[in-house]
Amino acid sequence: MRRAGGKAAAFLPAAPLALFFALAYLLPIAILGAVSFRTDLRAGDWTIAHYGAFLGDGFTLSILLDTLWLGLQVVVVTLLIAYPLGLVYMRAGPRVRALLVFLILLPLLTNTVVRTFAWMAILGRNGLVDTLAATLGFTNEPLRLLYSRTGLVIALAQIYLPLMALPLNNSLAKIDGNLLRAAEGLGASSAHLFRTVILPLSLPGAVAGCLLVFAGATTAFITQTLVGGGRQIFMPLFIYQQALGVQRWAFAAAASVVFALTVMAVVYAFNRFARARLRGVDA
Amino acid sequence: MREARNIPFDLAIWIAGALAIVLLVLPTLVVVAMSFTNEFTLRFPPRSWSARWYVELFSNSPQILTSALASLKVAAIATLVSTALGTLAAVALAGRKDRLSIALDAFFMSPMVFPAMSLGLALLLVLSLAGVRLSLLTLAIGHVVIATPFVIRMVSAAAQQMNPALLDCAASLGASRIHAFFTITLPLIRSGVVSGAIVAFLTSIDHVPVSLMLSDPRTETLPIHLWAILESNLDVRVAAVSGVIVAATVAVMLVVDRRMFVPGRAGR
Amino acid sequence: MKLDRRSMLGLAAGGLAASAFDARAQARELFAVTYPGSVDESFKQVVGPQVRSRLGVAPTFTPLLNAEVIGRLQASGANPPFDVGMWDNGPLILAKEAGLLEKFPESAMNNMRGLPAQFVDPDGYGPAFAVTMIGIGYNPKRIAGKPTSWEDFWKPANKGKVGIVGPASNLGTAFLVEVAKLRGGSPTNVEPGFRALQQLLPNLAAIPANPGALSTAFQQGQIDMAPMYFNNAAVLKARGVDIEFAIPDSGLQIQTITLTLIKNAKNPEAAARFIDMMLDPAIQAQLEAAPWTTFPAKPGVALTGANKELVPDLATLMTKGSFLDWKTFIGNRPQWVERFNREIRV
Repeated sequence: MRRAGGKAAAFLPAAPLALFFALAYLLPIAILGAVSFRTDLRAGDWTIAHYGAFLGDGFTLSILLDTLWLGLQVVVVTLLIAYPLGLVYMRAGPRVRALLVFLILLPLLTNTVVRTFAWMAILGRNGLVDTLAATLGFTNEPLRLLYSRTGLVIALAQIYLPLMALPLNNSLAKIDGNLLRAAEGLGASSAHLFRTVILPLSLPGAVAGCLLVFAGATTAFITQTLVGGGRQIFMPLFIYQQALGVQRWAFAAAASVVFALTVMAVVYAFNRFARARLRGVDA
Repeated sequence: MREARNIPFDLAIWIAGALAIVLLVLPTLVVVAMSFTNEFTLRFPPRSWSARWYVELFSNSPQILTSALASLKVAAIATLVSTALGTLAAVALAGRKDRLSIALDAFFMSPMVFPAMSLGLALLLVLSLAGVRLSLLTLAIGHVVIATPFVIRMVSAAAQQMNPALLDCAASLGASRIHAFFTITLPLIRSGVVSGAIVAFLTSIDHVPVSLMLSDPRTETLPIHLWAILESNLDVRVAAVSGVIVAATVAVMLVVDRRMFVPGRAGR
Repeated sequence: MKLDRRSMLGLAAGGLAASAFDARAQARELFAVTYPGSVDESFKQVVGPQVRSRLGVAPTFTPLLNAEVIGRLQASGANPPFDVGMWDNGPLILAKEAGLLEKFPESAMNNMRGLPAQFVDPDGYGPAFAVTMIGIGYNPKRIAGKPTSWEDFWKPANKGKVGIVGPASNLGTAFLVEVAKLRGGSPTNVEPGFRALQQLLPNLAAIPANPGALSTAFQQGQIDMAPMYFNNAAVLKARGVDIEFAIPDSGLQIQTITLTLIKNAKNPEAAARFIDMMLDPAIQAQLEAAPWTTFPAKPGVALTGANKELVPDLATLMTKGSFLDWKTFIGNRPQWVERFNREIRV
């Protein structure tokens, strides 16, 4: 009896948040789900037509898949940038480390919209990249990076890089220096060391970073529209247009549900996969 | 001494690392440079320089300042509520491995990856159906959901390093749970709570999807307002706002850095 | 650390207190919709101070596409976020049908008396305060020869230089209809228009999300040619952007911009006074002046600058340009938006 009561009491501090989330998070999502099965927002009957329309249409399905693909591309690019950065961080002394943390945090603190805008100026016709390419004699033709997929992936990768770099550096910093020195002393090459020691031990940070970057890049409405342009449509813009632009509220709800379920499924699968790998590392 | 065979790999790492650093800072530098243009249009690099857009921003831009204020208000409420609720929950769940705790933790963390646009539409529909008017408060509610997972992560990291024996000890001495929380737990996890609050604030102040869905003229936050400007007339004041944000950020970081990261003063 | 926590508490308490004051301030606030681009800017710069001084209320202007205004109003039900709406001819029909608007009270009519019948909504919802013209905006330094027709967009020489917007915006809808007409279609048969857009793809440099962003793209040198509102082009030119305005040989497209009261507005009295104030000759003249170049709806307001170069007076404009019969096709717009998205996507 006392044990059970004690157990319940131990959970008591979590109760306010549980209640808040039930009302402000679960309930709205439940209503979203309910609306997605209605013919219209305020009136009408129950129907599964919106799901049929979304899932049965190659166009909408390709928007969904392309959004996930975009997230994946951005994750890969951030990983490729964050690892070298992390290795530099690892080898740096305390002062350089503090400076690096500052440089990583700086963009994170300077507003997504502002950074998106900077990328418009960098990637645009006659922008920084074009000017640089012309000055270095590569090409005088505009590279057309703004409104291109390449440009969008680069911009998103830069914008979400801190979300990868911070947890990754955290993991890297925990790696025991003695271990590395010992391995080096035994004649392990840098590349070998990276593959066999650093990479596995940094996985927890990388996994956390991947999830954050994926979630951020797939839902980055402003960067997707401004840097991606009108010819690349991703789920956030699609949902916004369907809801507020053409007022197909119930259909927008169904699209939101499908989008959310898919993203959560990808995250869950990735998490399971990563945890299985991590357990392998621990053993 | 490093061996010669390591040089290619190490060199590659240093070059890539240096490129990464350039990539990190470049956009910020570009924006700050553009904000000092003397022209009506934004080009990089500007052809002539001046601080006129900063003057314009502070003397003749009531709506930009209003939206900045709205952002601060929402972020303040969201920070306060998410830090309070998140800290309590993190302390309750810290170190527990039973199924209920793991499930609750997963539930509390899920907004981190749940598509914010879907959450925004969900909140809009609920408020619409309930006939509740959009306000800074309704927006702040959405931001609390978005920000709380970050608080929980930060606080539980701190709480896991706490020795649970301390609480048992306090209990055996007759301290109530509430008393123990305020006198033992909270001081020990203080740095986690503070970093949680900072991250919550930053998350809220930069958040777009939920703010966009719940946006109306009374609840327009700074990012949404800046976006509207970018989409409509590319006013140079956007760059000036950016310059101010960068300056404020650097100032705050220098202060926080002194307080938090200087060895010997941290965590006391 | 104590200081941090205390200052954070202070901030939050300030936020709460401020939102409590919101309710009190309501009677002294006015929320009006504008159009993205130079209209919004001119309202913030010119009209805002006048509203404050003459009506004693603090105005907030929100640039939004008409379609999104309807979405916002639908979502907000009995608590509309705006007091005053700004509508092009097509969406005005939809907003009226959806019951989102309030008729304009006869008693509040003052400056708006004497407007041509064409400029007053026939169902009594409000007056037009301006006329907009759609033509071709182009960069004379990068486009050889002044464009004479919408067909110029398809010229091989203009590959990678053209910007357009989709039918989600009124500009994009008008453009689609014009192109359809040129290629043998009609406002109710835009099939040829969509076929033409397919052929335009290689020439397109940008398809921004809204017409205001066309100005942005022009300003950044991203595009050199686009369907444009006359006043947006004039504002860009006044700012030193290389841009000229050409009238296609199929004629100027004109629309009126109507101001209406929103149903259940929080501040209907100030809203009505605001709408009437917009037809005050002094304000009309201020909006007409450079750089705004808004074409005044009020007869007798003298034309200057670019407006005067375009036409000597309002009557000439009415004969030189033509209105589209929006009510015959505005209902098709959602399908057009959908189709445009499908066909234009990479």
